[in-house]
Amino acid sequence: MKKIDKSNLKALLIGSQFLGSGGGGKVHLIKQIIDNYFDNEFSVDLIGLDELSIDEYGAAVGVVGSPEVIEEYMPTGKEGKSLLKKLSASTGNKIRTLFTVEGAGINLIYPLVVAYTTGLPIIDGDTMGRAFPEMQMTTFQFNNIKITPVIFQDVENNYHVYNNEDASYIDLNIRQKIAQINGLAFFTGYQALHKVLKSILIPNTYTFAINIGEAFIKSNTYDELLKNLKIVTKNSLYGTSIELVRGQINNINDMDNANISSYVIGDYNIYFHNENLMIFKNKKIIGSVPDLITIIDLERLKPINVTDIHVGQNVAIIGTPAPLQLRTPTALSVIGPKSFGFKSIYESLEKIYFQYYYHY
Amino acid sequence: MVTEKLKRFLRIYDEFNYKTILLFNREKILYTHGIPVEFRNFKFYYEQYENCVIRDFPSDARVSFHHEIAVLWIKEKFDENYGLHLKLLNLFLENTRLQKRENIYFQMIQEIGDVMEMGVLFLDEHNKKIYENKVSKHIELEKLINEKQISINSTNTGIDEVSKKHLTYKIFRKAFTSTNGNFFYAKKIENSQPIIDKTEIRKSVVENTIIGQNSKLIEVLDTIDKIATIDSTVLIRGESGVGKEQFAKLIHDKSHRANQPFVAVNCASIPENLLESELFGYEKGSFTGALKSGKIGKFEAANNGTLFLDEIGDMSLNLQAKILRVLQEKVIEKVGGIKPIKVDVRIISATHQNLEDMIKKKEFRKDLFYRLNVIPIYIPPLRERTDDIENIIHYYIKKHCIINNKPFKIPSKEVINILKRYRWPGNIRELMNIVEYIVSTEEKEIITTQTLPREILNQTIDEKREIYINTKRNKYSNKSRKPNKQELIHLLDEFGYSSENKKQLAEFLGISLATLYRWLKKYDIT
Repeated sequence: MKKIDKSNLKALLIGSQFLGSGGGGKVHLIKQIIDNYFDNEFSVDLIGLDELSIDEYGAAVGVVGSPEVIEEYMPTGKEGKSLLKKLSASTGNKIRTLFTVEGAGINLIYPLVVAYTTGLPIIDGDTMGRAFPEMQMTTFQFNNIKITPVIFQDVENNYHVYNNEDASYIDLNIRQKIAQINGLAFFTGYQALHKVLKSILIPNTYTFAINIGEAFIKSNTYDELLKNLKIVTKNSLYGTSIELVRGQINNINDMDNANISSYVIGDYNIYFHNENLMIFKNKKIIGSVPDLITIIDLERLKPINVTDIHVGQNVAIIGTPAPLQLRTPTALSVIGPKSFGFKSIYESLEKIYFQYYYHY
Repeated sequence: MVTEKLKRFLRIYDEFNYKTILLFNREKILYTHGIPVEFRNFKFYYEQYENCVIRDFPSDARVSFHHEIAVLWIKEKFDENYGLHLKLLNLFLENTRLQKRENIYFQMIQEIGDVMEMGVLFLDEHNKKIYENKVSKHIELEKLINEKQISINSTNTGIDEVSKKHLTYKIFRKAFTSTNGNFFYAKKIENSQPIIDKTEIRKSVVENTIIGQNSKLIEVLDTIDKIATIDSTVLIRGESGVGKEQFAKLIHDKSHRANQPFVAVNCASIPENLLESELFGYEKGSFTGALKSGKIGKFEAANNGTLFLDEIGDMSLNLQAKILRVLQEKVIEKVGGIKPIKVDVRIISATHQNLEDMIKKKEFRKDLFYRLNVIPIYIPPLRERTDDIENIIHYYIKKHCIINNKPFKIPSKEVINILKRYRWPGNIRELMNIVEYIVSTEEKEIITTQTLPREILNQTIDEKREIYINTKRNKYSNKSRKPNKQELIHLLDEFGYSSENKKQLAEFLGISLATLYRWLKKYDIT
């Protein structure tokens, strides 16, 4: 069994930001909690999907809403512990393992705090394979598996329980409920037998994020970084990363349409909501959700969020193919470009750059 | 009064190594940490704090407003964070009325503008200068804007490039609806990253097609990294279908010959009597049926590049002697020609045959073997790289879904388990064919075992039977030893849950199907 501790936390953090595709929240805040409030013994067991027993239960813990305000409500893991206790009591099942819904950003790091507090191991897998903004955008939904019961704890310590509702309803409803109180809540739910989790979770999330982070840490130049990133991504269920464009951000347009904003690099337009969603070159698609579109700040050689970009910044935009689980027609109906209001259909990076991926 | 909550925040920020922290209320600065001197001169006005919405700050900085107290905290050293400067300027501009110069935000604009390394200039709605920093004065930014007639009223934002005294500046402009004014900043172009149009990514990259992180494969790739740049011959060994040509191309691409030709010849696929002319070319009229103009051979075609001789073990002894001569003298002679032609070619050869045995049987020249085998590389068969199989399968499923214009589909865990156990006698080539077959025949989103070709299922069944027969000491072979629930679930995971799979499992356990069903019922396994 692998472990996550302070020795690989930095790499995990960088990797989680890369997988966030420009979104996923401010991960460093959670790391600071771990750095500051847990001693050097901090260590969480990471359990692979193949290592899971069949007939025990795992459950997800996470954060919804506005992670920007999380520093005002520093989680300690105790909130997660009490939520899990409530979940267990409501279903009558003992929870043996934890997992994350979102395979990126703050939700990749926060469950470690709960895992450490409860002593439960974390499953090396997730339900999104990257960052997505809504609770139904998961492999549970693609496989028609209910996520309830889900229990939320808002920042004023109120509990909100959903027992049999649809995931997209829960997403809308909880956001309405917490909008007035800083828009942040901790939750648990998505409880399922390990047997089910083995077949629906996207595997190796933490290991993959750590490998990506290590590629950043060991690279001194951008060229080195690109080379190391390609090796890590190629040997995964994702696919080789590809540099889509490198250049200076010329312009940022807030709210082009509904919730969509964009930024411009020469002839390239990148559209984002919480995450980067589509990239066009001369009005043609050269990358689209669910494939990952990541921004790298060339001066700091770090992946950054869309909230961290500014005009005049030198960046590289990296595309990474999404795993197959995110590409089936059912999955695309939940997380494809149309789910975010685009009229285009998904065009995979491997199709757009077929020669780069398959010919020699 | 600083509340307990704020005190707690401050302690946290301090501990988190924020280099700059400023806490203030309507009367005075309450707390500072690492604030640049110029900041301490702020006079703060309270009335507009509440209107600020600060969501888009860089992750390293933030202004928080807590009732009557505002906190500005910055992770990096203030004067290094150029993006933060711009964000602060934007923020304060949106909240200020430039006419009222006593406004706190206007003061902040000045403070920030003064420490910035790029030109900063603000014009009001009448294009009258409100503020400019030293750099703006130095480069005469206002004059540049007027001279170049940069449009300041057409759109909300703009970007222009202007040159002056051999220097080029990029001038960014933002109009503010709250003030009807314009904010400019100019950056020297030498600092900017040119747009790299990645036309080269359309080029094929052989490295992307070699998937795997198995230690045996990594060893091969490490060796290739080490030897690619030297000109020695390489002999690639390995079973049929492991992709030897891919590795030869990889060596070529990593060598100094990468921009020169890579020419591959399969010695087994060309009849022996034609192979010589194929390799060396021929002069006009050399033999019946020859082209009138003659033909250049693969050696010449590969000049300055790499020649890949696949299935070298299938080459006749006669031709082996000729290849040896090229290696020794670096010249070739065309068929029917008399003039030696100098060639500079790196030779990479490959075979799946046991050349050492062939040498013993006098079917392969020993001296040629030593010449070709300066750097031996052995490509492991796929069955020794089971840890890579899942990634490779996913890679080829994507490929064939794209080629056949089919929706993407995903293999079930059971399918992956079976394919991992399969022996892969035809290696990667066989895997590619099988994936192509599966993708073309499976109509559903999930690829199940029912779509797998019979030979794979048969081998799996045979193997299971073999394991059973060979392991007399198998714990289940003793009828008194029943598997427990957990073991039974594991076995089902291995064999599968369909009725056919259960039949196989019953056979494996040496029990009847009915008994197996009874056990399943007893353990409540569905």
